[in-house]
Amino acid sequence: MVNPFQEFFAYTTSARELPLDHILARRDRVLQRLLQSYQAFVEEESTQLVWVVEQGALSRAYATAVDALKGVEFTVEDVEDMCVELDGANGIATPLGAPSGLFIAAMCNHVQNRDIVLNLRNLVRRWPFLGYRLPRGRHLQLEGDAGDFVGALLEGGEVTVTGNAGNYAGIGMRSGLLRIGYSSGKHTAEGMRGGTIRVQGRIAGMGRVKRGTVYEGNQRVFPAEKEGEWTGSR
Amino acid sequence: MTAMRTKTSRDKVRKLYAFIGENLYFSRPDLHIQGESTNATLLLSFLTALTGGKALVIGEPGLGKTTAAEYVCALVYGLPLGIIWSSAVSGHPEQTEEKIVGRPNLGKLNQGEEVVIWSYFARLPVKIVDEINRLPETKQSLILDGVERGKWEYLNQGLVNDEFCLFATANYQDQGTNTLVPPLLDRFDVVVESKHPGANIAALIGQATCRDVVLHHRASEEAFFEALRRDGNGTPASLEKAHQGFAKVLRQHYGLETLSRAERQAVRHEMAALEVDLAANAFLRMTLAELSFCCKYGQKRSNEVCDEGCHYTGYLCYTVNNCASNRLPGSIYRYARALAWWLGSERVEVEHVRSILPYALAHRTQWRESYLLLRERERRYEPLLLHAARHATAEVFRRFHEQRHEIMQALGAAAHILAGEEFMSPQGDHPLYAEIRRDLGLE
Repeated sequence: MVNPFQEFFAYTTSARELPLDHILARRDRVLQRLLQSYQAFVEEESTQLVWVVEQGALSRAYATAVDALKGVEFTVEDVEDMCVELDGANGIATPLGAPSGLFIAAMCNHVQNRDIVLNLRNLVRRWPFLGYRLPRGRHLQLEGDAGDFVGALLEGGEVTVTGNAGNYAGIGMRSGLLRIGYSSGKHTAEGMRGGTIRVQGRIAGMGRVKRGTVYEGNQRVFPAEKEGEWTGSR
Repeated sequence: MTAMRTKTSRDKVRKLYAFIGENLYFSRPDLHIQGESTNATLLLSFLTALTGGKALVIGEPGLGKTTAAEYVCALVYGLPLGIIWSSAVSGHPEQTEEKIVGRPNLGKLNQGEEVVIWSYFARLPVKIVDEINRLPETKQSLILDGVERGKWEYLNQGLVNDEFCLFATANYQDQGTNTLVPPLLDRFDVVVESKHPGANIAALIGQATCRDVVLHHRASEEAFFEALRRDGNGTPASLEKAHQGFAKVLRQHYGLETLSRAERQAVRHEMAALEVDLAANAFLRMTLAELSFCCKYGQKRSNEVCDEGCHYTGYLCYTVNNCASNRLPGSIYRYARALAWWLGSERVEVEHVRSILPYALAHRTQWRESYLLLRERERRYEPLLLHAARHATAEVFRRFHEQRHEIMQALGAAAHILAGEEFMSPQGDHPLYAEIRRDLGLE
């Protein structure tokens, strides 16, 4: 009997490896490393059990997050994946508000790319502290609404929120630019020492601003264009 | 030596193509392959003449269906136009076997001897049937055998052409046309439309006054007629001297080198020797599987309609009514090899098969009405049947592109299993997997 497949007798190949397989495998590896780092960070910080209230707690937690990220090479896509992972209710890692936000902020400040875009629209959680200490030369674009403390202690970087921002936007920022597409919450620019905040919509309430410039729409509200003119609610 | 001859023959043929394209048959390039743009009608006419194939050229009246075939054959076979015109058969309802094939030698018949005088159509290697769809269905069968094998019979005598090509032209349906019967249609390797070249090129055609003069040489034609008369049933070999005379005229007047009979044979050998690579082979198998497979009835049959909601609804087997004939792979291999030779490729690749497929499928496939209705409304530059065939080819190619590796592995595994080795039986969703399993006796 004729073997109709004879021509293919010698056809042997090793298992096909698609470039996509490599990409996915690498991303899985990186995500695992990041999750391990996050777990280490949360375990370290959980012993403190005090957040924000304690003087210096934030700086210490941030330093721990940065330490945890040492030796991990990751990209903007990995930051996005990490956001999705932390956002998932059944994620491997325990999602905690402030630590998660700080950890993401640390990632944004240390990722190789200098332009970072995070799509927050598909995320359920509103992480606080996104853009925390973003250094000069980096641009973080947050698509959608951001949580509280966005752009906190900004260090020369540029943070753009396409939607609304929560309370304490730009708290303690030293330099840089914080743009908010719609409105910001209460205590906006609290303790601000420099830089610019531009809110396209309404500012629900201004914080105690020390230095810097704050705009609401096209109007400069700090320092006020004319003394006593600004009448925004506090 | 072979490579040198190939280059020389290909160069010669390409010069002939350029000569016709620049002087005699003005057309737009509409076939793009491996960085080359050509006119499909002209290219397929050349490939038909070179391979000894059979082409059906369709189109509106006056758009050069017959003209393209005549010019190509005149140059590839070294025959003056007058001889080609004399041997052409025109399709009309009163056509008879005596005019197409041969007639009794009445002088000899009076002496009680049965001798056939074969027609020029039957004797010459170039066969052109003009307006074939004006032949009634009953008379189309007169040329079935001749078209298939180059074998002509009359009065218990036979004539076999050892080298021939066939061109048939057909207008679109009008009051005077008949349907071409499926057995005759299936015998054509390819179908191609001779298209309108566009207003700008068409305006040039009217200005050219010497088109018929170029390949129309009275002295050469006399020499051919004399040779054909002298040797009542002479074979093409006995016309060699006349061929040489006409070739000399072409060389002197236009600097054209035609192919000798030996060169044509050599070209055919070179084409036949081109290896078909495994991917092209697998792609063809995928196409054939989709055009012949039916999970319910075993194979496609034109009198059986497959059910709605069949698992294989997404494949071509659901969009066609008939089964792919066994002539289809032969036509595809022949023309894909010829195309690869034309392009100077070392082997037949998927791209060659893919380029030829629509032309080999269009006239053979009976599409489901719903499929044609969908295609009919699409923007297109070709007649509906060719457009549908091209669309179908693209669909199969997309599937091949996605599953190429798995399909080829399955075929490789099947080869080993059939040789008695232990291998995992091929599994997959495409009809070709089911065909493989059938061949392995697993279904």
